[in-house]
Amino acid sequence: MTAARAPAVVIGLGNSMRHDDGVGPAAVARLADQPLAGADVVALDGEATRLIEAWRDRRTAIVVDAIVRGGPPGTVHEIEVGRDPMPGWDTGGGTHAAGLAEAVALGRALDRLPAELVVLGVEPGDLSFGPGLSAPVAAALDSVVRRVRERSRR
Amino acid sequence: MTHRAGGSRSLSTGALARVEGEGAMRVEVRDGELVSVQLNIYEPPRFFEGFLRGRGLNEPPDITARICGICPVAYQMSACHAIEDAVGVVVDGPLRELRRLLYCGEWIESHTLHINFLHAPDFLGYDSAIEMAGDDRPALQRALEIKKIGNEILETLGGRAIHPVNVRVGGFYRVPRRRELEPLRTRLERGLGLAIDVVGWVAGFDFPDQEMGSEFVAIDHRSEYPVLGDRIVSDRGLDIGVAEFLDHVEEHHVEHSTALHARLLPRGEYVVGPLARYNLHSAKLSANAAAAAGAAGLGPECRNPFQSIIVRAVEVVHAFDTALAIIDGYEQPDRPAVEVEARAGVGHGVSEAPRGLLYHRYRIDDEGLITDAVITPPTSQNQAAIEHDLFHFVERNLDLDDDELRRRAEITIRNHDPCISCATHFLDLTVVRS
Repeated sequence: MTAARAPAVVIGLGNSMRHDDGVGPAAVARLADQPLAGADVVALDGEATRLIEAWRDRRTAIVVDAIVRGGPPGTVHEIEVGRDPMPGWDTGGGTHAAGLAEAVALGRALDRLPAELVVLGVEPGDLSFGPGLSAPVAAALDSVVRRVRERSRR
Repeated sequence: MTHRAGGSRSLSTGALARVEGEGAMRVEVRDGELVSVQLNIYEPPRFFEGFLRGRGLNEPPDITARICGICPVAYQMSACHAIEDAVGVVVDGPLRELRRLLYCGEWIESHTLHINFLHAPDFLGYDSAIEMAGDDRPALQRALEIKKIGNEILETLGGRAIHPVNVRVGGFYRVPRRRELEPLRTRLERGLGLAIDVVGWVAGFDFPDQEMGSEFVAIDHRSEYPVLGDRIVSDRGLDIGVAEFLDHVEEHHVEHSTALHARLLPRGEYVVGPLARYNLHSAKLSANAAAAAGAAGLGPECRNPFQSIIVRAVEVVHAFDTALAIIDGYEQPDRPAVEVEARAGVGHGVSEAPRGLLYHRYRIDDEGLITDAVITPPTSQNQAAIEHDLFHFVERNLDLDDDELRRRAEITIRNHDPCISCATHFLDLTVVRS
């Protein structure tokens, strides 16, 4: 499959047993109910090499993750990661083994970044153990899914 | 970050990556003498033990798989074994073989991640795999390919690569036809060749002289290098059934850690994982794995924790050989799972996670609900030995400045591939000198 023809990939990162860290998998579950045309959807835990494999040979990758960047819980940050220096971010008390930031850095070093990499980061409120999203993060899901749909159509 | 207060100095870092999980280490030096080394590990299995109470007997494989994104199969397998033990079910024949095949995928993936992306940079003088990618890109590209092949086993059998959804108590929801496994064969042969190359590569690293004095503990199987089995043995004469595990292993709270530390009664610290498996069972390695170990200069035993990187690489070769043998001998079973009926009881289960022996125990009531769960992960069993290693390392290297001491202490920790919480990813290191 060539990069030009490969569909976009939507990657939901996180651990659904760490409350708001599960926003990525929750978005993936929502998208599974209402499939996206022209995009593959996958849930991952955030380990860097798996991320690199998931977006390998894709022109466009959209990653949904819990990201601590400041702002009230549920705030959605939209970050475009080009091949330029990426903005600093923190995956918080995130449950990811190596993390999105490391995957981007490693992907860049190995020349394995998609041409277009968009991160939809949701500010978490609760990263303790347990299932279910906090109310503000759950409320942000509609907006996240809408943005994923818009982005994947481009 | 450096803080100075009174006569003591503390130095900490908030980002020790390249260890799976999250934890903190504190080194205390008084009047030039090392007083203590403490490793503090945040341990999610304790949360899961509570969360499992009141759940149905079919739920633990799926729930405990979420403890760790790196080794979900291990949690699923130990959970299945324990529940099957409680309700009196034995899973054998092709279903057991499929379980071993799934486990091969997990060993390949987990070990390849640790060997190439987390551990190799230590030996090659890089701060990270990202830095290493500049000079040693082919090695990392090879590793990505091996890891992907491991992933393909999980995807073929497990349905998806993390938290495989096809595993259930009694077996699987669906088993593959023989021809569905055929495409894997070519891929596994390719992976086997690459894995043998990795053994040769890591064997060329420089290894400091060090020997572990700990007791080595692993599962025993009469003919297989152990992944699944029902006895537990050590190099100092331990030979027990799985149900006796908690009679011989005492879990206790230590003041500085939220995790439980395990010790073997009456002797104390012990080690599980690749070195333990190798030292107890190297004679049962596959032909290619044994040949690769020999070519790498390993004898029948290896007690140098730095050389655990070679042993992991040998185990990856073994996993490829084993997966190929399982596929060649596979005959589709009549049904995907053994029927499981609820009954009251207590069950014990073990399997060899990439990081070592993983024990589960469940108490189930007559309605099939779990009333009590115990999960003893490999890292909590290894904690005392890791602290021991660290103590001796720091004691010999007190003249190093804090940065170098920290860097090399991190390497000492990484030798053990600790899955420090299997859920979060920073280790804070604090050195206090006064």
